[in-house]
Amino acid sequence: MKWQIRLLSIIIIVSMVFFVSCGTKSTTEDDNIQVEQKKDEPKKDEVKKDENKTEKKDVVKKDEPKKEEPKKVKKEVEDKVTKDINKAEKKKVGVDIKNIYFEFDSFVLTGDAQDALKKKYDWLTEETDINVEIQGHCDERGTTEYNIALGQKRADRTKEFLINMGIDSSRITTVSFGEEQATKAGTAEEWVKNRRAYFEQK
Amino acid sequence: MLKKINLFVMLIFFLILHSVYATDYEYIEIKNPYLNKIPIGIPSSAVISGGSLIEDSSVSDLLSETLAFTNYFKIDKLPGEKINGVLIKDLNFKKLREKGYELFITCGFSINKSKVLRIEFRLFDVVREKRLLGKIYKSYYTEKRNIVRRFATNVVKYLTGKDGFFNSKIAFVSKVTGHKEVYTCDFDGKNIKQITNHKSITLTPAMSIDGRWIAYTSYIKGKPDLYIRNLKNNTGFTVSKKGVNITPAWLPNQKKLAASLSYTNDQGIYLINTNGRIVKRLTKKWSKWGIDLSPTFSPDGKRMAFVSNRSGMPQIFIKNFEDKSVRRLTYFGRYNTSPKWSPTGDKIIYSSMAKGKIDIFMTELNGEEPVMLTTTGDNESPSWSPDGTHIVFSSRREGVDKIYIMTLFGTDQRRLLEMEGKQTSPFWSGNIK
Repeated sequence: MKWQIRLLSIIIIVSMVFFVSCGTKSTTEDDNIQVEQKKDEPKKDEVKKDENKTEKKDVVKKDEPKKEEPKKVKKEVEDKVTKDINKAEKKKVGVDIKNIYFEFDSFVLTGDAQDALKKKYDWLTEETDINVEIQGHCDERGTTEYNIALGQKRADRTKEFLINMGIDSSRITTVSFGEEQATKAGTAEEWVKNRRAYFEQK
Repeated sequence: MLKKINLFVMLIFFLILHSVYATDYEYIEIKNPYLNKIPIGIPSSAVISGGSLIEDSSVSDLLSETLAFTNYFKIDKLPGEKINGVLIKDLNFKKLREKGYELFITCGFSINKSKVLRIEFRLFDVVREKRLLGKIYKSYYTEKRNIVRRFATNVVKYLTGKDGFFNSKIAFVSKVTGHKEVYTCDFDGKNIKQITNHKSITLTPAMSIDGRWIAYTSYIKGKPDLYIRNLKNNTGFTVSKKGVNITPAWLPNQKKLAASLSYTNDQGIYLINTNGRIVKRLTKKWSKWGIDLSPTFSPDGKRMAFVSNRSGMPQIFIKNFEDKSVRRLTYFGRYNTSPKWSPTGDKIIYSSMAKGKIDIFMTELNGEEPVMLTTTGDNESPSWSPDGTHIVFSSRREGVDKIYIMTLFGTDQRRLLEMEGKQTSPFWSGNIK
């Protein structure tokens, strides 16, 4: 440890000497350049200070425009809303079940979502001439591209569940709209309502 | 331990100073070009008629505007400033130094009867009393903007050794017609053109390096398909495979693109020809629930960064095509998407979400200590200028999505376009010849 510090100090001293010698060298080469460099020298420190100043200034400046920060909502709150809304959905009769809701950045079917899908399955087995399109949607958060992929996974998961129960795969098509049809309210309820697989009768 | 780190920091500081002083005269500080801007004087341009000069600032104003975009300069437009001429002998360098200028540009022009414009530009080093550049351009008056951009490119090239971005375009999505359509504009937000008119949802444009091709996703057939269009002759091809066809990105050195397709059930990245034919798959299928998307290539085309949910949440990975290895780049944050590899090869910018808010980050290729470049509002879809000095991105900082630019250090952030409605997904092209 000690010898490392000593070694470092030596390197620093050597580099300082080198640094000084560099400065002298350019004096002999070109007086004009040397003048310019001397002028620059104190600027180096100023730049350091300036950097901090500019950053602070930037923050102030950036705060000026009207703020529309999304309301910060705890994940637990959001998950509870998701649970409640799926619970409400599964109480409906099969034909009225239109949406299966998901947690943020997830395409996992929760217990309540699966219960709702079982009712949807019953309805689909009764109405054998009805085909459906399952549309995957995401909330406005996240990025456009990733949300298109995520929306597809939500639709795929929903379709897979119904196929595994016995629905003919030819009766179900899927499409993802990502966040393209999401409402932009910025509340937990709105986010949850957007994160869904939606059934459209064909 | 702390002492040791301090010593290290000091050592690095001295080494940086060395490198600055060891090089030749450096007009623009490579380390910090935007915080210590070079003061430059640009007096009104003048019409040269016979032996006399008539002040007309139309050309010099355009030059000031153009050079201002680099953020290298502290520009003083000097309206009404009397200069005796545009040559070195006409300048009083002592006086210019007293005013604080380090550089000075004079511009004289003339227009003949057949509307041919002849412009003389001269760039001077005020401190060393030297002419650095002298250029004469001849073209039609309508080409004024292009002439100014050519000289501005010469100035930037002389001072930095790089080509700048004055011949580049920015493609973006706007909902001004009520539908999301693709538009392009010049690097400075001028010359806006509507490229698509699908009256559908059109997303994520990407232009080829030479500016001839554009690829984007659109819901024309009711689902996300990929459209590849030649902008010169307006021919095009479609990739309309089952499922999702998204996130096109052009390879840096070939007429091919990569995009993410889900026709094999999982979402994977494929190499595609301009005719829409799939060449091969670039990422391995690792699960039917896998999502790999948003490819971006290193300038030599040997590596590709992309987004994958293979670790349970979207993170950025790097695939090396030479040894076929894949490594994770981002470890900070739980939602990192939209990577773009810098044209200089050493950095990657991306969007990262934390606490429900999205910001733009920049990281070195080791992924350590990413730097947050934005603070207010949601900031998404970053894209590099062709010289790697600037970043265009979309932001909701003023309530509605609009397009902004900043330097790669996050300084000089400002709105690019004045346009109604929402603008998103900006993509910065290469310098188009």
